[in-house]
Amino acid sequence: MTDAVADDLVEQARSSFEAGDFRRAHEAGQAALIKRPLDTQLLRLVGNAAMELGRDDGVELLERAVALAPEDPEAWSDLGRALVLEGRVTSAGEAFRRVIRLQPDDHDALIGIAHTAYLSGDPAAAITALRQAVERDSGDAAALRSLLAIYRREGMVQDALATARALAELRQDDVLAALDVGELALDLGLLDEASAVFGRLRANDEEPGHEVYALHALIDVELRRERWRRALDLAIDATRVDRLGTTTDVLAFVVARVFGATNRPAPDRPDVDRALAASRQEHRRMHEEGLVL
Amino acid sequence: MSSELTAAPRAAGPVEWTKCPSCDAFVYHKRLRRNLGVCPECNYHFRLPVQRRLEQLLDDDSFTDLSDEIQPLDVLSFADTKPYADRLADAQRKTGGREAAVYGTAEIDGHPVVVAAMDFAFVGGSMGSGVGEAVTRAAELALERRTPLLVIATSGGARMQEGCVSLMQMAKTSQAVARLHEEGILFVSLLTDPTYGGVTASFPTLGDILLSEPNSYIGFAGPKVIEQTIRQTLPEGFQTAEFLLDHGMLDLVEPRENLRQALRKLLELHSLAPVAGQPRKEIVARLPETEGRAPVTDPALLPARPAWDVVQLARHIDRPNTLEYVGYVFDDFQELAGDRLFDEDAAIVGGLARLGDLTVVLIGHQKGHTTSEMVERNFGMPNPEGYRKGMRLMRHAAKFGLPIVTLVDTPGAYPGLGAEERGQSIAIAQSIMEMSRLPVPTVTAVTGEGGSGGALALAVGDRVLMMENSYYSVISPEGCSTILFKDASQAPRAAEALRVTAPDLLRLGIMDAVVPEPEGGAHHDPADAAANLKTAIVTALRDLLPTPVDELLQRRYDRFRAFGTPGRQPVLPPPAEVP
Repeated sequence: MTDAVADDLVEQARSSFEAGDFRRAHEAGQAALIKRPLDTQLLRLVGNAAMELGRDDGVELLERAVALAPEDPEAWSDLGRALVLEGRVTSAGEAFRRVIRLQPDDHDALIGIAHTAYLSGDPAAAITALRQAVERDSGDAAALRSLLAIYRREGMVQDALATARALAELRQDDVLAALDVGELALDLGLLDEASAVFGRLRANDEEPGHEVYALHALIDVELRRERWRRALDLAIDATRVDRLGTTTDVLAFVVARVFGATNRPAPDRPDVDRALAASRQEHRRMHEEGLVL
Repeated sequence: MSSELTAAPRAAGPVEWTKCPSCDAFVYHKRLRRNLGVCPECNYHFRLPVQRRLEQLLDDDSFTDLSDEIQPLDVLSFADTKPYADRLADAQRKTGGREAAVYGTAEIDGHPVVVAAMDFAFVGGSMGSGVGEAVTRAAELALERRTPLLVIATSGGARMQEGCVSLMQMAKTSQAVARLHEEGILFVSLLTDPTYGGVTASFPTLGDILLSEPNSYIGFAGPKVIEQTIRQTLPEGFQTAEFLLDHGMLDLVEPRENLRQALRKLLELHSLAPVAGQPRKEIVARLPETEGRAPVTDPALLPARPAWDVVQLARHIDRPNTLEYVGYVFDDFQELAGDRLFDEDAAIVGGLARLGDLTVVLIGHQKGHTTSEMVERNFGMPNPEGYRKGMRLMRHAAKFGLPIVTLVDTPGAYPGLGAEERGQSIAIAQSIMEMSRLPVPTVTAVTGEGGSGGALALAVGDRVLMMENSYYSVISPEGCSTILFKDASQAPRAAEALRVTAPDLLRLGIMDAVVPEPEGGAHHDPADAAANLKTAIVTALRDLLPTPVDELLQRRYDRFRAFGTPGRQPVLPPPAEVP
């Protein structure tokens, strides 16, 4: 193969890759590799194309690239992505750490380190990396969301609330962020804040049928405040917009608190708390589904 | 001087992660997409946008979108807290689509299909005039081109903002589907999470084949409405696809990674139906060559065994069951479940299978070999749901002109309280009647126990065969012994007196031929027994396939009309004494 032919193949591989034709890019790149087996950029191209195609040889090609160019952060970054795509999180984390050593301000590598660390059972390292990522780019909503999720799962409620507030500030129409702030405020007994957030959510969440979820959250706040009359008003409002009848038991409980026992048996407080928590959970899930794919 | 890449291009954007709403694990977004939107940690199936769904199921670049004219209509000038028109504009902006459904033509592994697919992200996939129009046009196009229709459903129900016009889409789509059924066009429906309300109660559940993904929620009323109405907590998994499968409402539930393959297989099997107008000789030529021993039609050539010995062999726990014979005799078996009414009865299995290059519908009793399997399959004793599933599959065969093979092996229909409540007798009677008028060739083989009406319900065939060591009887020998011989221990005598074995049934004309078994019985060499069975079935179909439908029906009528008719019914001499 002449250099000219190899040049053509490389160009073909590059342009095909950029056009999203990974199959052609892989074929042309593979052919060019026969002539230039030590070309790390070509190895990266073919490796990345292989990963896009779901081929087995992607990681191997990218490993060859980093072996030939161990000081190339881009090559390590490609390898990290490929490994994480294969579900090899520990190795991926190592690759991302190499990127940071070579290029300390690489935001994506920090995000990669954080998630692979968390998946490897090291939440502290995950939090550290995400904090660094957020410090460097306070507008990264995805990083804030991951940090918030990890804080919540680790029981770091105050940190979670601060992060949720930052996210809600950044994304004012983000229902999930508002839900997080509201729930965390509720957990911490910051009932005024919870009430304000769920009140805004009631107005802002325009998905059909979602007003009832905000109302349930507001009822929860009022039950904790023991403001039974206000809870009754909200329960009546919720009943009006609740076509699934999920408020009936809550209303019966509040009515019993306000007017005393009636003929209709009212549920216990723990049952009501569970129902209201389930409502929030369902609300969250509906919006979480909308975030992906 | 060679030119070199200065930097390798990279397809991926930032390294995005997403949290699985089911298990809370972080999943690399790209990995999730590669995994078809299924969480690699917990197998949770994420809801898919319509484009992603089509990409996963259809051949690359094969989809031609014909939905240009599909638009929602604001027929009521509806406004709640916001005008409907504004809500539509929001949904269009959010999803990039014009409506909650698209339709067009495509291919799946080269098989042409017309597709209508819904998008839950667009106003909850609700069905208004636009969705109804897309589905109806798809059905009409499928009819015009005589191409299978694939519907991918997901919806919260009818679209309130279009009032009764929305309700009418249920009728509009259902009548379009009815035409497909009348014309014998295949309609496969994939019900995805969630599918509810007026949509579930119209076109998607009218498919010839209904399939779904694990854990998809499908129902009419939402679970909360039901809980509030009946004031009871619903069982775990209520309204999931698996729940519906268990209750006879779905044919199959396949993980997302298998869906495309399942669709391919269904299309392939239906493409191998005998084609109307095709020369009968060509259809017959699609049957496979066989190597088994020929079926026996002369009773004198059959070994004479004590009837009771035959009964024991027929009941032997290791004797091959329907699903084993299916494995040996047929290819590409695709089991189809459910009676679409009440339950999935594992005592009867059925589905599509390939015999050479010809697809047949196969239905048979299934007993199992281990205690747990026998319990699961109720020892091969069907409830009414089993027979109703059988009838559903027979109608499927009739619709597509597929020959039917039934394998009979049951002690009898299940004598239970629930079975009676749900009409056991009626189910058996209807099955017998429907079989008698099926406009397709039907071959029956009794492979083990032929227990009375429970067996006959699957045995009104054009050709009725039995394995050498099977038996067929109006009542179990034990039952007859108790009632007529007044002594339960006289079962061997009763078996002899009832003439339940192959030679006698051949002489009586109940059987047309007997399938030889290996020495010691079918369980000694199931492969050999199955080879013989295959030869017998293929031989029968070679005779039957060239027969015009009218003649087929008349001969079947005559066959069963002759039983007990003076002058036409052979009468046997007294049996040998049992010591």
